Amino acid sequence: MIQIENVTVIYNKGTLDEKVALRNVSLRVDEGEFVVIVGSNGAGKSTLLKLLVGDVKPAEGSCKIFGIPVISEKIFKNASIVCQDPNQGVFPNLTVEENLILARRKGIRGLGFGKIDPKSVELLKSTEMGLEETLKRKAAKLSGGQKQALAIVMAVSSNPKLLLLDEHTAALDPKSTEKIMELTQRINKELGTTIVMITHDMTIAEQFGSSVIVMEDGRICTKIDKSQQKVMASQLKAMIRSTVFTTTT
Amino acid sequence: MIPIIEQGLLLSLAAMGVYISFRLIDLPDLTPDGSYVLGGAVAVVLLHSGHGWVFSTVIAVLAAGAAGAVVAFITTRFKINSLLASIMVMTGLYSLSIRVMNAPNLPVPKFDTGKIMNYEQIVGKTPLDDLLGDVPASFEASGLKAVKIPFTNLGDGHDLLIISAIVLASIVILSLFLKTEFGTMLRGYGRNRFAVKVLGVNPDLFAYVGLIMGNVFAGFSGALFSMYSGFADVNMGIGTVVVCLAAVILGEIVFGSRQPIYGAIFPIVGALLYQFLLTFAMKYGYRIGFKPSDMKLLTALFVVAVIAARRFKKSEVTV
Repeated sequence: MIQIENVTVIYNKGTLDEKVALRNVSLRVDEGEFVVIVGSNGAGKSTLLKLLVGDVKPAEGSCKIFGIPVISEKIFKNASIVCQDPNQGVFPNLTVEENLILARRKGIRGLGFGKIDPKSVELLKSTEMGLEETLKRKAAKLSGGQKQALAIVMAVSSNPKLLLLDEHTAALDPKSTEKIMELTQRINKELGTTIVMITHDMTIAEQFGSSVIVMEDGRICTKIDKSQQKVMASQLKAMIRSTVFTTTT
Repeated sequence: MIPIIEQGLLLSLAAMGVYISFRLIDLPDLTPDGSYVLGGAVAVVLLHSGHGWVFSTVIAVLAAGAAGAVVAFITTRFKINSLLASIMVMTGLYSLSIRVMNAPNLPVPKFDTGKIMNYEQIVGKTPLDDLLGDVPASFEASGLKAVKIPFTNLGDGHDLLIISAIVLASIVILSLFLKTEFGTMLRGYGRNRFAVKVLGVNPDLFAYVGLIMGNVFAGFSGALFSMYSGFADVNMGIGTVVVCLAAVILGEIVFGSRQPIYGAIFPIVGALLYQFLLTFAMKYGYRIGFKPSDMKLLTALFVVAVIAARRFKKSEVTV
């Protein structure tokens, strides 16, 4: 599904502020995978995500999703993204119902009066955050956790093939984080949506990812899948922790 | 009393345009100062060319909408702040309106030639010669029909009825549009452009739609006001945005946190209230040394005061 080959991304190329954000990165993500990317600040995680949504272009190499090169305007026809800020994924001035009506499919709308998709309501109920009671309430009035749950439900309502998560639990309390991660895992398992998630939380990376990618200094240090994790759980933890904490400190 | 309501209702159409740009899509736009005049200028010139008031208004509205499209183009294509882009377009429209009228102002013709003719062919003089709207006697003598505009500032209930119907129809159409999926996304665009992009839609589309709609309403108001008052003047748009913004804010104050029909009611209630306050100030203000020309200064001070008060209360302000 995702094919990144020998990609190098350079910010402010040719200026004094030139910075190499990704160095010769290659990565393959297959359909249905739940890939978690971990790494310290400046490791290149966010740039990798920006590359996937077409916000940055590679100086070298190629990045293809669904077999075609990434184009910023078209990528969201088949993919969705949920960001760290819960306000970024919802329309705060619209009601929860209006948000879900808009999210049920991708692309431009007509002049019809949309109806809410029952599947979206079911998904909303499954978050167990009481969101189904708030359909007529403005999204701005929801708590941070509820907003993020709504953002995820909105992101998957149109059945995207790929879901990108950019530290989507970073701004939440532990209880909300747990519920959001349960929802994320259900989406991967029950809907079969391919997920690429960035996180700083090592526990989440170990617990939920079908494979974990560790990044450092713009490079992918290692990609370990779940079967390896089971065999080498302790080594993996040590590796991830040492990589992240060494770079951070 | 009736003329005050009529003028308030006509102003409310322009205020609706300002509400769309400043509040709904959050792209502050000063173009209505120019598109209001352009609407009036195009409408009056077309009346002079022998067209009916409906056709003249439609073309005037389209011309004003085109001005909005130019602002959207500059804003989205060149990534220039909408305020700056609209200042440039507004300045350009000043010259354009004079070009359209071939004069700084133009009276609404009193007689219909029945065919498309330019002003000089009809009147036999340049527009500057007819600044006061004096119709040459040769008009009637040549058997020309009177131009029919169903509303003038006569202050009878007849005008009020028609203007009310126009404003009511506008608000019904606008609120129905805002309820559609497209309209819902337009409202959403005003607060979260990124979410629009994630839904696979180019957010720039809504900058175009919103700015065109805003200027369509301003041009509509300008065209109707010119017909109502009997002239189009290149200076009649000065301060339109500030006055309309004051009307929108007044409406918001009246309704508080409630937002009936997506807030489209704010400009109407606010504009009526503004017009009453204006009349009250003009009627009794002279006792404290107040002049009618001070009204724009007071309006600007009012807008600043309300924004400052809201900031002080830490409530949300998008101006």
